[in-house]
Formats: sequence, structure tokens, C-alpha cells
Amino acid sequence: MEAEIKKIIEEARLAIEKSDQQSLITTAAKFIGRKGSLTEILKSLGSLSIEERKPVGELANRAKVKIEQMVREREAALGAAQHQRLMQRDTTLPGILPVVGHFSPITRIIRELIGALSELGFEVAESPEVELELYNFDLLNIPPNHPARDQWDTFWVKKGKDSKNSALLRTHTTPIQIRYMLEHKPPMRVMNLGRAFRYEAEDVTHASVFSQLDGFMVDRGISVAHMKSVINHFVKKILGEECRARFRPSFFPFTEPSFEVDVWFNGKWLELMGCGMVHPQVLRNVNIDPNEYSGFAFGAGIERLAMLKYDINDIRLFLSGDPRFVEQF
Amino acid sequence: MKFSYSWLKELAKFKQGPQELANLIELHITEIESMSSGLYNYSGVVVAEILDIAAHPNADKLHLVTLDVGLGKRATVVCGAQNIEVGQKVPLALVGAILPGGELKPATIRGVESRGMICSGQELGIEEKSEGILVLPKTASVGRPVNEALDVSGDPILDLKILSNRPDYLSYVGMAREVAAVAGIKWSMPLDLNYKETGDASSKHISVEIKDEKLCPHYRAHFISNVEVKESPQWLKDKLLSSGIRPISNLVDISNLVMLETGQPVHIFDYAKVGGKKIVVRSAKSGEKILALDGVERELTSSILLIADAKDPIALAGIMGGELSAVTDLTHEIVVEVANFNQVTIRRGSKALGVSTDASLRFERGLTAYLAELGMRRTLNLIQQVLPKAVISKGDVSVGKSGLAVPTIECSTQGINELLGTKLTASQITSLLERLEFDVKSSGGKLIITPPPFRGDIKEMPDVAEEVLRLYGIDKVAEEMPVVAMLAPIANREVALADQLKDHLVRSGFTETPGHCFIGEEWANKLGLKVNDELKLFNPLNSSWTHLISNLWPNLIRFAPKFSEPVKIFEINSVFNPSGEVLPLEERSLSLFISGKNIDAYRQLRGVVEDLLSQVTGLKFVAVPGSAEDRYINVSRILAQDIALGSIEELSPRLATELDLPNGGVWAEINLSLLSGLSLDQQKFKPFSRFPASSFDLSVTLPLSVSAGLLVGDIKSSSPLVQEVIVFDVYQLARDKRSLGIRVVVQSNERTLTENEIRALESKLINLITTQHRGVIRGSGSE
Repeated sequence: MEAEIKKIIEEARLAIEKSDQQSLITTAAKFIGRKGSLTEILKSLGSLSIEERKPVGELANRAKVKIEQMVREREAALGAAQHQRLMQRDTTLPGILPVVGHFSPITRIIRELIGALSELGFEVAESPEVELELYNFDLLNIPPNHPARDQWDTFWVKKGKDSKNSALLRTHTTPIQIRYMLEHKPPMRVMNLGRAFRYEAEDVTHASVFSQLDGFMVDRGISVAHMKSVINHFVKKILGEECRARFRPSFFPFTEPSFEVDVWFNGKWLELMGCGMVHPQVLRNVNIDPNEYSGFAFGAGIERLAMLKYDINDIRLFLSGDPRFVEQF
Repeated sequence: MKFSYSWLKELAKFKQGPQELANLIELHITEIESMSSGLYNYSGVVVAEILDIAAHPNADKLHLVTLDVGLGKRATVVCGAQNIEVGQKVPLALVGAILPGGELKPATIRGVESRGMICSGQELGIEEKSEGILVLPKTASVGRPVNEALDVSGDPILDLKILSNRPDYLSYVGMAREVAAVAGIKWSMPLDLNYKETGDASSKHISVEIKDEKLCPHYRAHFISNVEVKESPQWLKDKLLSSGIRPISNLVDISNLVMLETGQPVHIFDYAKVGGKKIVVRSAKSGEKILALDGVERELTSSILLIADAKDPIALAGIMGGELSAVTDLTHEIVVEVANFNQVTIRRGSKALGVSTDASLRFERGLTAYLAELGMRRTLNLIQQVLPKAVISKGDVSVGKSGLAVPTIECSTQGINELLGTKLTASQITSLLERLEFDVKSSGGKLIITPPPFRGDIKEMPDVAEEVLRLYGIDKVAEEMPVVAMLAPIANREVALADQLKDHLVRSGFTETPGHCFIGEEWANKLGLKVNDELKLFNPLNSSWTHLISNLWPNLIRFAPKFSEPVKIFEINSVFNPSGEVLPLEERSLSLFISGKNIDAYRQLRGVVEDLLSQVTGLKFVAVPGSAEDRYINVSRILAQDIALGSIEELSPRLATELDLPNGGVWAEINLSLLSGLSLDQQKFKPFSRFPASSFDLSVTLPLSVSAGLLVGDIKSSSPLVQEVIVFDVYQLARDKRSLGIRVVVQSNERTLTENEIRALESKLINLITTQHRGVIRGSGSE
């Protein structure tokens, strides 16, 4: 019996030394578990005489304590070794990125634009991309054969007998003014963000399909001072608090007075957007009395804003579907 | 239009330097498109070094000069100048170069071909008169453009944007008047308009008839005899050159100068060629022809306004003169025409003929008839200055209205201040407007404002307010946030849905790749689609952008081969379908595309769609049977609440290969306009069972004809205890069979299920599979 216990201790020593963290518990159980070999000996002690039982019992109990100790030591050694191993991790390796997709930079900037204006109470409204000539031009005070129409080279979809029956790809998002004001009464604060189209050759700064923001506010007593304040807020929100806007005289058929907005950005003035007070003829065209109400309107090229903000050098990249571009955003 | 700094200064007498002037113009008048040193923009003129001078074989006074023109190239030219030396650096215009005098043509001089011309300062337009060629500094770099080596600071040229409501900006007088007003300088007409009439009456020589005064409100003609056509004096040529106009001859140059100065186009006819001594302004007869000054004979339609003599057309009114009535070296008597034409008529005519000239550009912006008299007086003044022997007849032959019915505008100081957000007084407003030659009278608290006769653009109060603001300074208006009533914002459901889906998709690993909205026949044919001619553009930009798209996926697929696998891309944008109305039906659509090796693209895409639409009430996928010829296979229609939302389709291997997608691909398209109108399941908390769940797996072999979807559905509805059915393995066996690994999760809300209950359910399902779905159980068991 004595020899058997020694043999068990020897076997246990070898087995425990070979064990790793996962197998250690099962290894220990082989000897001192419910059905372990040493446990079997302890269980069998009852069949021995009292004289025999005592020394063997002591021996077996010592053996159990010993094996338990070996297990604990092995556990500690394995723990220390694992700690050592973990400490060898190179924490400077780059992280493993979660697999997520990418938003188009247009989506990103549109969300910022909506954020900057909705906090001033502007609501999003939409108008169709294929638009009536009447809404795209006539009611915006751009009469047929006016040279101002030259600024908008147009893709035509349907040429009907008059502007009510002719369809085009909208050349700007400004028709929202007509559509919204025909349906609603002041006060109103509205923005429209979407695609616009120009029939022109493409290059790094011109795209025939691009995006535009158009916003307007109409109420009693709205002034140039209000317009300047809202546009300055908008510019600072989008391009940073350190930016400031400057207003220059300009001409748009649907605003009077009209302005061009420049921003001081990276050490120079850059042309950013157009704006002005809604032309009284436009208000009359949508049955709003210009003697009672006034308003301002503004419009900006969305890609141009994104190009400034993200240092993008070619407007054609936006719709290129080029992974080297889209996967950066 | 390009304005010379010194010419503007001569007219407006301001003190500002070029940069200060540019700032004033930019903040108060119009945009500076560019500002340049004022040197002529030569092309093809380089710095060259003289390497060798040899005698010309056939001419004593000419030399053959060989020059180094840079980049190891040499050129030999014929040169007559006496001040040339070997080693000099000189400006060399190569054949094709653009000089102030025109393009340099190839030339053979006395039998020797000259490959260019060594230029004098005069030829470069930087000296009035030159003796010999211009010698450049020794430091000039051979081969570089000559501008870099010229040590002259030219007169700065400001290219100013012409606002389309301001035709008066298309003239030096108009711009100088603005500059003077902005700079606060007292303005008076700087042009000399005096002349002596020494002949008999113009009306003895010429008569004028206007057929329709709507098309030509005003026409002035003046007869002048004893003219001698020759080169213009240098000062006149210089003025034209600074505006980029090539001098031609004294009379033509005068008419061009008057147009630059006043904005009023002027035309001069050779009197001898005006048949019947009569000018008739009329619409062209269909089929009538005219040989215009550009040497092109054009057939006319009735929309073209003409200047005719008693019989034939002699000019395209407001656009271009006729070749046959033009002034030549032999001309001795002339008729000067200064007229006003309807802007729409000229614009239509210019578009119809495809001809745009400096004159048509001005007329189509709407000149006021007032300018005609000014233009005539200045023309006659200049003729007397430049051609002192000319005999000017008495009086213009003047037909039509010379004045403009100038509107008076009544507005209040308060109205202007309310629009601008300013606190200006009536006298401040008055003095600002008077600087722009507005007449302002105060009457009963109102301002009665009369704009000057050259301002056709001032019609109502905001037009006046703009002038006040420009002069006052836009930067002086203090910013102020408006005070408004609160309004509950109206959320746009479709926009919100599109936004949510974008977030969801990007989180699911999809990249947004927006495209344009056009398709052409070639690409459509490749995809087996037909373009719909109701969606055709009248004027497509190119042959692959001829029609509006009705689905997004055809263009989305186009981007896929550029992406590394697995490709997961999407787009949300508008699509178009014929509606029978003027505008097509325009809806918002979502398209998704997946492709990749070693992934089950079809199930992944279906999973994404299921996930996106998980809250849509009554969502169903209906498989559409296909055939061997189909380009698109495994079509699954997406339906909900009896509305077809879209479909999921897989590219046939042949089509995928043609599209450069060797690992195939699956697309889905979902109509978001329809989707946003559907009712959604309310998200509700579902109490979970306190009792443990159990599961068992079934390994089933099925004929291919039995759909997994049907089997899963039957298992789900077989017992209320079945909580979940997961297909964890699909394995294609030989022939027409496949094996499915199905895990069934069972749980009760009331008790722990016993082993016997679970086994009984398992047997029931095995029975269902074998009897109803002709399946064979290959194994079963629980974990």
C-alpha cells in the first residue's frame, strides 16, 4: 500500500508538471477527485485493521496534502508563465478595426448642414429632381430669353408647349421656395438639400451632377441683418468658429439685394455661397404680399463645402465610386 | 469685361492704387474675376539666345540668325534688324505664336524659310515705336516664356464680372461712374462730346424707317462725307489693345472705342453701298441671305432683325455688319448707325445664328435708349478728332423714342431700414443715392426716387435698397438674430427613413457609393435592360448618359469590380418612371450589392434585407421560378402589406463574368417611397421564460425541389414550444439532393420540459419531415 501511495505521488508529480491550465483540474481529479486513485485508497482504508489503518491513513492524507500543494504550485507557475507571456504582447501593434462600411462624404456634410440649420429651427423639405420649367425658372423671376438663364445650362427632359408643360433636370435646389411657399403660409424656415444638374463639361471644379443646399426664411420684418447673422452662424458651424463671412454685392434674379458670401479660410477669402433677400416678384408669384412679409434665401454647393472641409481636390471623385476615395470617409 | 486700371483712373480720377481699387470694386460693385499685370498674354514667345549670325544668300540687309530656344533645340530665322549680336538674349516668336498683332504665320523670306521672328518691343506691344529688336537681360532663362524676362510693369488689367442686370458695367463710363460713387469722388461726364456740324442736313442724304418699334425702339443715323480710311493713331490703338481688341482702321477703331467707353454699339456703313439712300429696320424674309463681316453667308429666318437698304439686308441688327456695306479703304462717305434694339430679339437672333459678338452681348442685356444719343455724340467727336477733314452733316436722323419712361419709386426711410436692418436717416439715404445720380425728393415722409436714365434695372424698393446698401457698406450692417415664433418642426418621414437605413447599412459593413442618375443604351443592353424613351433626355451630355434611371442597381454594379472583396456597397437616391404627366414619377430607392469569394453572398444580402425590414408588418419573400437563359437568377420578390417593395436577384455566372465579377454577385433594390408609407410593428418587450430552453439538431437530406423556407416554416408552426429554427448548415449532395443541418430550440413558459416531451417533439418533427417533405433523417441528437 505504501509503495502504491508513493507511486501515485510520483505519477501525480509527472502528470501535474505536464498539465496546462485547462487540463490541470482533470489531472488533479484523476488523483484526488471523487473517483481519483488516492481517493480510492482513502476510501478503502475502512477495510484495513486499526493498526494498519493509522500509518497508511497518515501516509495517504499527507500524500493528498502534497498533491494538492503540487496542484496549487503548478497553478501558480502556470499563472505566472501566462502573465509573463501576456506581458510580451507588443502593445504598439496597430489595432484590428471593426468591419464597418463608409458614408459618402456628401452624406456626412449634409448631416452637418442639417444640424447647423435645424438648431435654428429650419425644417427639411424636398422638391423633385425632374422639375417643371415653370418652377425652376419662370416663377423664380428668370423669364424666358433673359440672359440670366445662361448661368443655368439645362438638361431638358420634356419640351412642351409652355413652361408648365416642360420638364428639366433642376439646375438648382431653389424651386423648393416656390413649391413650399405655394403650399404654406409664413412664418417659415426651410432647407432643401439634394442633387442639381448642369449641362456642362466636367473638370476638377465642375460636375454636371452635384448637390446643393437651399435655405430660406420668410416672416414679418426679416432683414439683411438677420440674414448675415444666420449665415455667419452656419459658416462657423460648418468650417469652424475661427471662420468669418464677408458679403459682396452680386446678382440673382430671385433675390434683391443679392450677395456673394466669401469665407476667410486658411488665410484667404474663398467664395462659398450666394444669398439675398427674397425678390418681391418671387413673393408675389407665390401669393405672399411683399409689403407684409420679407425673407432671405441662400444657396451653396455641397461638394464645394466638402472639398474645402476635407481638402478634396477633384469634384468628380464624389460620384466616382472609387474605393480609394469612398473608403476614406 | 477687362478694364485697364489707368484708363479707369483717367475717367474717374481716383487716388487708389490697383489693389485698393480692386478691394473697393469687390466690396461695393462686382466680383474681380482676375487681375493681371497688364502684359499681353503672349503664347509661343520664348527667350532665345543668338548663337550665330550669317548673311542671307539673297538679300544684303537680311541675316540668317541661329538661336538656342531651350531644351537643346535650335531655330534659324530671317532677321533684318541691325542691333543683333551673338550672345544676346532676345524674344523669339515661333510660328503659331499669338502676338498683339495676331498669329505668326510661317514665312519664306527671299527664298529662305524663317521658323520664327525675333521681336521688337513694338511687336510685343510694350513700346510705341522700336528701333531694332528688343534685347533681354543676360539673366533671362533660355526657353522660358518671355513674360518672365520682361522688365516692364504693365498697366494692371482687372477682369470684372458683369452682373446680368447691369449692362452699364459693360462700359468704361459705367464702371468709372460706379468707382467714383464708391470712392466718394464727384462725378461728371469725362468724355468730350463736342463736335462741329459743317455739312448740310443728314436727312438730305439718308432716311430711316423702323417697321416695328417694339423690336427697334430707337434708331439714329448721321451722314458724314470726306472721310479717309487709314490706320488709327497710336493712342487709339493702345486703348483698344488694352481691352484685347485688335486695331483695324480709324473708323472701325472709333466705333469699337465708343462701345468700350459708353457701352453703346456703333456701326458704320459705307454710304455708297446703301441702296436707295434709305435704311429700313425690319424682320428678315424667310430665305433671305446676307454675307456677314465674318465672311460667312447666312440664310435667315423671320426671327432675325435686319438693317436693310431699300432692297437688300446690309447688317444683322445688333449682331454683326454685312460684308458688302462695310467701310473699306475706298470709302469716302459714311452713315453712322447708333440704335437701340429689343434685348429678347437680339438674344434670340444671336442664338439662332450661333453668333455672339461684343455688340449682341450688350444689346441682349437690355441697353437703355438714352445711350444712343451719347454714343452718337461721342462717335462724331472722335471722328472729328481723328479725321479732321471729315465733314459732319447737321443733325441726326432720329426715329423712335430716344428716352426711357423712367419710373419713379416711392418708398419710406423706414421700409428701406426694415429690409436692410439699418438705422439710416432720410438724408443719409438721399446723399448715398445722389452719388449714383439718382434723383431723390422728400414728400410727406416718403422718398420719391427717380433712377438715372441709364439704369433700367431699378424698378422697386428693394432695388433702391440694394444701391443704398452697396454704397453704405454691407459690412456696416450689424448682425442680429431674428426673433421668431416657435414652430413644431415637421419631420419628413422619407428623409428620416433614408437616414436610418444609411446608419444601419454602414454599421453592417456596407459602403455608400452614390452615382449619377443616367444610363445609356450600351450599358443597358449589356445588362439585358431596355431603356425607356419616355425617360430620354433631349440633350444628353454623352452617349452613355442618355436616359434617366429607373433603378439604382445598374449603376451600382458598375462600381463593384473596383472594390476589394467582399464587396458590400449601397446607394440611396432618386429613380424615375414614366407617369403620363409632365413630370415623371420620382421615387427614392435603395440598392445593395454583395459579391465575394467564400461567402454566401445571397444569404448575406437576404439577411441584411431581413434585418433592415425587420419591423415591417407582414414582410414576405416570394421566390420566382427561373430558367436556364435568365441573366438574373434566384429572384426573390420582397412584399409587405400587398405592396411589392422590390427584389433580390443574383447575377447569372455568364453575366457576372461579362461584368468582370468572377465571383458572382447579388443585388437588391427596395422602393423607399413605398416603404416609408408602410405600417411598422411596434417594438414591444416580450417576457422571457423562467424555464430552461433545450435544443436538438436534425440532419436532413431533402430533394432539391423542397424549399428550406417551407420546411423551416412548417417546423416553426408545428408546436408552440418551438421557439427558434436555425439552419446552421447547407450541404449540396450528389445529384438532386442536399443536406440541411437544422437546430430546433424548444422552451415552455410554464415548466421545464422533460426529456420525454423533447423526444416526443423530435419524433413528431422527424415524422413531419419524412412524410410531408420527402426528407431522410441522417441523424439527430441534442447537445
